[in-house]
Amino acid sequence: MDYKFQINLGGIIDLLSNHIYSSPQIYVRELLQNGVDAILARHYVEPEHEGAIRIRVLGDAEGGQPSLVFEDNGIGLNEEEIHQFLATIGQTSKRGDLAEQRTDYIGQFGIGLLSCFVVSDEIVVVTRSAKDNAARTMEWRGRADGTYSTRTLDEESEPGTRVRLLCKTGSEEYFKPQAVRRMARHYGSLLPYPITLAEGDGAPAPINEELPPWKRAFAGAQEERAAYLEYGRETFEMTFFDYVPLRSQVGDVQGVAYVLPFSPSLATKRTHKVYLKNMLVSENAEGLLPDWAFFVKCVVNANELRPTASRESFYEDEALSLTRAALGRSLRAYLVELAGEQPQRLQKLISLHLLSIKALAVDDDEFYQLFIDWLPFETNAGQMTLGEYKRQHRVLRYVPDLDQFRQIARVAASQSLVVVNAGYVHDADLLAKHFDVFPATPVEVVDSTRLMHSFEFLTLDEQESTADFTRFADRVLRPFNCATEIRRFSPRELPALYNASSEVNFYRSVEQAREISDPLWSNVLGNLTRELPGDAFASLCFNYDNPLIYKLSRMRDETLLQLSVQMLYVQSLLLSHRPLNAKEMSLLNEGLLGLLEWGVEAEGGWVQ
Amino acid sequence: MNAATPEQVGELFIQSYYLEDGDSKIMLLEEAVRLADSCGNFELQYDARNRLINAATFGGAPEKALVAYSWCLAQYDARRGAREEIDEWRLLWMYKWILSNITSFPQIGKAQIEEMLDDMAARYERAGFSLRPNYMLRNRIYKFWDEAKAAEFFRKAQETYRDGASDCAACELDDAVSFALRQKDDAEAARLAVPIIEGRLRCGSIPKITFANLLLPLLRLGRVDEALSLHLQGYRLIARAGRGYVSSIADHIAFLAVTGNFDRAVRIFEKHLADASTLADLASKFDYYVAAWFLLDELRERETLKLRLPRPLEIYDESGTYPTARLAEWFLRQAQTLAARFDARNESDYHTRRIRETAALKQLRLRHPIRETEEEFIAG
Repeated sequence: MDYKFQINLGGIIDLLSNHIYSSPQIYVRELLQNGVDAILARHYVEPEHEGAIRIRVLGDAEGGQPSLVFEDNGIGLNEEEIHQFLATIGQTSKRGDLAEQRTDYIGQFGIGLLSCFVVSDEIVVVTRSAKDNAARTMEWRGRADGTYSTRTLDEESEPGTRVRLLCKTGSEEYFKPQAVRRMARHYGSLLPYPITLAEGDGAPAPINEELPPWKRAFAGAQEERAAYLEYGRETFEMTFFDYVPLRSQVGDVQGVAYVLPFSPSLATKRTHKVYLKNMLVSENAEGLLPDWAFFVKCVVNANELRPTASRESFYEDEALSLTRAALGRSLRAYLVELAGEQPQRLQKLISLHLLSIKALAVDDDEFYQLFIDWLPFETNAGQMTLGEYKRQHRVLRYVPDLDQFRQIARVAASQSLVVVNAGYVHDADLLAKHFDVFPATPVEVVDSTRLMHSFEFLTLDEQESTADFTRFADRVLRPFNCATEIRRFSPRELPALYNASSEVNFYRSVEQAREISDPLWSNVLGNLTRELPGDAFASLCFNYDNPLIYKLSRMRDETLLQLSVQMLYVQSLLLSHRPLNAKEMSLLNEGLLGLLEWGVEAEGGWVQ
Repeated sequence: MNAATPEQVGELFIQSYYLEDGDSKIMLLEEAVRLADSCGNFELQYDARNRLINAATFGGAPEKALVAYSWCLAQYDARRGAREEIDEWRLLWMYKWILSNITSFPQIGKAQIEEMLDDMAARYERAGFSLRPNYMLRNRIYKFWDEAKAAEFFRKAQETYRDGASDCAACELDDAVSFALRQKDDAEAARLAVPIIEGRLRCGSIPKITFANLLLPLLRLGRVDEALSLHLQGYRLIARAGRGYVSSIADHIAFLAVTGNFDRAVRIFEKHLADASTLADLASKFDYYVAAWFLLDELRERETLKLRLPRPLEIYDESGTYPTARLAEWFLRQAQTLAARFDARNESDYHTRRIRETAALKQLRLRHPIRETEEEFIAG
């Protein structure tokens, strides 16, 4: 014997109000949705029919509680349909066969009317079907305890449906005329049928008489611009930098993208206000635009995309991916047009949304070609656009690593070498791509090793005279995995340049951790670096043009020479903000004391 | 000598906070560690390394996470009794990340890995946490050298209670999906994955990894449309993640090669090769090279390929034209060399077997083109 589950409607309503519907005001959306679907259904039988939705808020009519009447002149329901649609929970396809043929109904989830129980204990529906002239007017009375009754009314009414909600204690907030107007506007402002709202016996006032800007015709560009920006202000309470009308055949999407007036964070997801078949479904939809387009916020209406159950994004299907491509093209076309016609505006936009534009340029060769010269980069001669850089320098030189750039910048500048810092997001990718797109411009990756190669060699005589010094310095620094060299370079004030590859940096961080680790971890770390290539040696390049180095290279006092080399090494580490390990730290302490001692003795002022 | 200030470190924290996981973020945080060290403020030193561990783990630089983590752990041990500035839960939570990636370095021995697993378990026990995540890690690690033992720990994990240090529900379900795949039960894996596919369970790494893992199993089940949809959704999620998901990108490349979407496969292969070839995480590099070989081998009929390969790659050629067969062989040789190192460490044939299994995908060969335009690819 089979039994049916007994469903406790009260429990379901509680679930609905606390979990599925993000807020009780959703009931307005569900009522609007039912109304629009009913009108659409009537259109299929009577194409000339003019649909309308009327809302009336009544003050404390019954027992001191306000009520709300929601009326449409749509298809209406006959008795059989009343049982089928009003009293079945979880029915997913509305209006049976018709719904299967047509895809333009908004409602999909079959829980519409239930949402009204979140704010009302009793729902009264009075309805008359338009399909049959002889149809009688029916009344359905549903209660939150899960029971309902129907009866036939004697009154002759126009076809359509009238829903009456009696306010539940505690839900008064949602029955205030101001609130109802706000909610109806919020969800229904794009709906294609006139919606009106009346208070008590008052005259009905229109809710959605104003069309969105993409549905309006404008006398001129200025008027259009003003209307779009005003719409953006009303929708998002923000004054935007610019607007871009959007359109995609696939997904039947129309709308507008607003360019944000501030630089957005890369890590936050940009979300959009999305209408589905003109009904607001989400104020924070994701996935509608390409990833690089995080500089805009959109309002769009999509007629042929499928929302997910949560309604916060769309099903990732072919239609969505084609739509995304089409909307991406609209934005790209806007940027290209701006570059051609309003370069100053473009510069402003670039300064606000550099990352978006760089991200697009990385992936899109044609866009790269058009935009790369406009984009600003950091160099050791200050910030400049790549175009400016290329006008001044024949070879495009860049340092792909932030840390290396800092090491190199000062030396490079004094050699009138201007290098681009490509250590920030996208920059290295963009510059690496330059040669592929513009093969005529030579590109050079600069790193400190290469820079050092460009330093001037000493003459043979000078080399001979400094040979003892460098041999000695090498020996002193070998325990620190550091080799030495001597060359001439500017600036003269710089006695030595410390040069470390990223391998060396990594090696140093491993050594630092090993110093304090227990045997297990110390061995693991040891193994990790066991296979580092031989260039894990750092180098210290002395500057022969520097007076101190010149003097040191001629000094014979080995104790003093050792102290000096060690101190130069430690100082160059500190100058490049490298933390000292334990060995280097003791070098610093002992070295300072040693030098002090030497200085004091040299003065001869040491009195016993 | 201009010492760094705490404000400079804070500034780097803020900058890095707004970045997605990747090289730039890691670079900024390494700089933050150096500056914090040079101003000698313990809280900042510790905090900077915590952030670096996170960015490096999810940005494809587990070697950097390992180094920073060992420093944090040693500081914690050194400060027993006075460690209110160290968040113990967080420190132990991150231990899982470190061990999740430890097998990616063939130079780290099997005995050392076992010791680390025991060390983690001992620390969890002392802190009063469930050993469930430790068992799950053993399942993931032992599979390389002893599948029976791995399976035993998978079951043991299931029987052990969850607590605040256990993995999230999405990650655990992903583990179960991987386990089913290891048992060659594609249908069960696909069934288990439903909550992830439908988006009901998700986290930072899921569904990115799961979608990639399911591509070939769904093809084997004949569920081509579903596989295609997971490819489109899944690749989009990781296309910009660079080094962090190289192994999953390899799955997408193999999938595209099997389904005959060669143009798209080659584009994706080119795009991520620079990242993949410079990884210290050799396990992901291995995965990528195996997929690259499979793709190029499927393209053998074309004598040469015009490609943009990264300059530092040994086989790079100025002309940009590469003999297909030679290129395919090069990737195979690289993969074999890596496999030999892993297998020597693991004392098993796990990685060599992976190459053979990839070769066997040729029998699955389908022709199922994805309709796409250049713009669509740009749109991600």
